[in-house]
Amino acid sequence: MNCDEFWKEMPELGPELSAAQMAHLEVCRACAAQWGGQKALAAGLRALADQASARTAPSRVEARLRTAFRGETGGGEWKEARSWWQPVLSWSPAAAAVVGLALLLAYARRPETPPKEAAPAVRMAAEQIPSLALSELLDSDDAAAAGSDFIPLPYASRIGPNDDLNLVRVELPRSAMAPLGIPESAAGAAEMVEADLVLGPDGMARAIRFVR
Amino acid sequence: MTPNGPESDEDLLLRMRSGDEQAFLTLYRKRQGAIYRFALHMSGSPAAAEDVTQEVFLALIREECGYDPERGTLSSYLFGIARNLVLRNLERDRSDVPLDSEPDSFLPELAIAADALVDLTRKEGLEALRRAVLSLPRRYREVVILCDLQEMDYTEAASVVGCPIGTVRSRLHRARLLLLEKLNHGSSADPAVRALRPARCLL
Repeated sequence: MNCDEFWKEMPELGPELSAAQMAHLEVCRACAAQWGGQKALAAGLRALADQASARTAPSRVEARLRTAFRGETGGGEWKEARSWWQPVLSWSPAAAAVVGLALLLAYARRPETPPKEAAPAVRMAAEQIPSLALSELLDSDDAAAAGSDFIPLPYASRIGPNDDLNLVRVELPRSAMAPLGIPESAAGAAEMVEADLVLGPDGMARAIRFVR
Repeated sequence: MTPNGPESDEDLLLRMRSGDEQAFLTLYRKRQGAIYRFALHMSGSPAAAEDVTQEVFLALIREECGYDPERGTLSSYLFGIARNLVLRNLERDRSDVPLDSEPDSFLPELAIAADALVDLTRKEGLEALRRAVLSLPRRYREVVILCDLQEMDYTEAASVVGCPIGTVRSRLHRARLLLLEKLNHGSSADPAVRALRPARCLL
């Protein structure tokens, strides 16, 4: 056995030397010295292991882990319930975002609320009526001539041929009829009457029709 | 404790998974020392070893990594987590000494007296040895710690490190040569000790 053969078998990792290995050490001073070093190293490593054997994690680690364990388990029922709710909870922010977006879009598509036109006493009397084509209503200048019941409001903008209009039914005091040229007795001035308002695309009133 | 002796790790784990705190504590007390010492020898830092120990058992509590009994013992599994955490810390701190690239370099503080190998079991020798282990490249350090300091068998060490048993053996062989080299370097008084490198002979 030569040196290469001796160390190739990694004798320092085995339990004990074979007869051939011992014979080699008797005749090879270099290998004997190295073997002695390996033995000393093994003893040193054992001593190091013994020295460290008493070292353990500080007790605060156990305390922290005990708390974590209780927090993690927290009783079987809670764990079971949580396992059912966990997917729901994890998806809830996404669901809330979708609902929020839907509401935002719906709100953005809503027509603007028209400002109040007459006295504070005027209130919406009916739901909005869907937009009507211009031809179904009036040309603001020729309303009377066209036989329409709608009366153009003073200083209101003209309605364009392609404007979308809204018709809104409101209630207002009978006294509001006087500025439009409709005679009204003082006795019934406070009485409420129904009227249809034509609103332009900007939400401003363009014409009015009193409901008989 | 069962009538037949201590409960196995797997049984404790099973009870722990069903919410038994005492089972968890038993398992922790049984295994934390070895995990802590492994992390301590690997990092050289008690604070890091404490963190690693805590993280290992937190992972067990949270079931972050699935333990598969078919693939090895729970002990190997815990050591595997500890090893990954330690390596991550070492990578972050870049505290490794690249001795492989400089085979002839040595750390001056490791140089001890000429009779260092004889005195390795004494206090100064142990301190030098501890530092020599700490200065080994990671792949050699971990096998020395697992096999020599933790007295783990090669099969289990191979399972922890994730390599064949033969690789563990060859790394351990190389690690011991490196340790001897480190411990002998600088002690020029005794030529016999310095002549530890294998010399070719024809006998």
